[in-house]
Amino acid sequence: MAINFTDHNGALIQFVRVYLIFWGSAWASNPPPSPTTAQVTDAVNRILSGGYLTGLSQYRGVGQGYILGSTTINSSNPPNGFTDTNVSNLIQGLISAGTIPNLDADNQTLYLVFMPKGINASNSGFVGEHTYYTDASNRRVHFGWITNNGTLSSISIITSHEIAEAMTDPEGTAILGDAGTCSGPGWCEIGDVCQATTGTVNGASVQSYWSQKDKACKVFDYPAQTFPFVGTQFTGTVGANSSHRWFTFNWPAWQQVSWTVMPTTTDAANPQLTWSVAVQRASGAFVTYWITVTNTTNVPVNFEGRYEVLGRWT
Amino acid sequence: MRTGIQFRGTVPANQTHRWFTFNWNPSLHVIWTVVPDSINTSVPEISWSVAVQRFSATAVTYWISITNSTNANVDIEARYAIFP
Repeated sequence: MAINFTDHNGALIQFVRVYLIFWGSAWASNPPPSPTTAQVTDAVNRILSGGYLTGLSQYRGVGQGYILGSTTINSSNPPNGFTDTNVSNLIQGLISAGTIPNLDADNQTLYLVFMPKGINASNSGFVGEHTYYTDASNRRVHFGWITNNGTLSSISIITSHEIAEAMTDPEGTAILGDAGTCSGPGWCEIGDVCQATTGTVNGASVQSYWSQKDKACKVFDYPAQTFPFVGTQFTGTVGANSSHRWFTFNWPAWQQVSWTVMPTTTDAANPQLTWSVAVQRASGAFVTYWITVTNTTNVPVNFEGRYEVLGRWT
Repeated sequence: MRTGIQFRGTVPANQTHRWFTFNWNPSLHVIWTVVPDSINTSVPEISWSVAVQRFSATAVTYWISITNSTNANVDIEARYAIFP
């Protein structure tokens, strides 16, 4: 049966705040383990800030994210054969103790727990997973866990898979494969059908994920662009001594954009236009710019609304 | 062109908050932009203005005032772009 994914309109994580938890004394050992917590953190940062997640914009505008923080827990160790409940109990205990931040107001936080080398899940067929639990305030806490075979590339690939899936289907109610798309158990998600293809994006090893618009497994990256580049987005007219506001939407949030206004009506005597810019993140992936142009003269003024794309966000 | 995120923060509903960032090289041409990290599907969320202080012959401080025009707290990220 052909692979096909459908949006079931459930919760998404539009712009993820990832909190990293390195569980077990092995992470704090001397000499440090390989890979180190710093190396894993760097890989996750590369996954989040590089172009890997840009392909998720096709799924209701899901975007990218950033690392909210990290902590190493060496006061306890995960049991070999750990369960989701072991992990959720750890996270909730850390939140209750104030060791890690509680959910953000928009519930865009994803807690990722990294296991020491050689510690496996109760179901040894799984090397990583994401799911959620419901806390005492009836909020859904999104989390994942990643096993460790001692190589950074493996940890990075598993992490990329779990982040992409957690953002597009944090609760098993959003972007899901139609019946027959997946052969395994559990939620059928965009990484599950693409485990055979990996790549490198922004210096991090990643796994491909399903692109419904391409009907294929793809490793996404930023488009090839040379910065800065400029253009005219719109033209308009502002009446005498008045202000008017324009908006322009679906700008990639990862682009840094500056706006200027240029009169095309001439006036040899006076300044003509001022402008201000307001910004709206309409989704994780896309920004809307609102440009208010004020005409300070006694006659209508025609103008160009110009953009300057300065570069990427990081 | 070098670009990056200098800081992240939260602006309370219907308020303006000012951040500063210091020890910038005066010879650099720096443009500041701000983007919300909080999703809002209906209205513009933030605007900003930049003030500059020549702290010394070799150091500039930028003061970035960010205004939240919505009724909810907005997380923001302040981005720099350095020419050329």
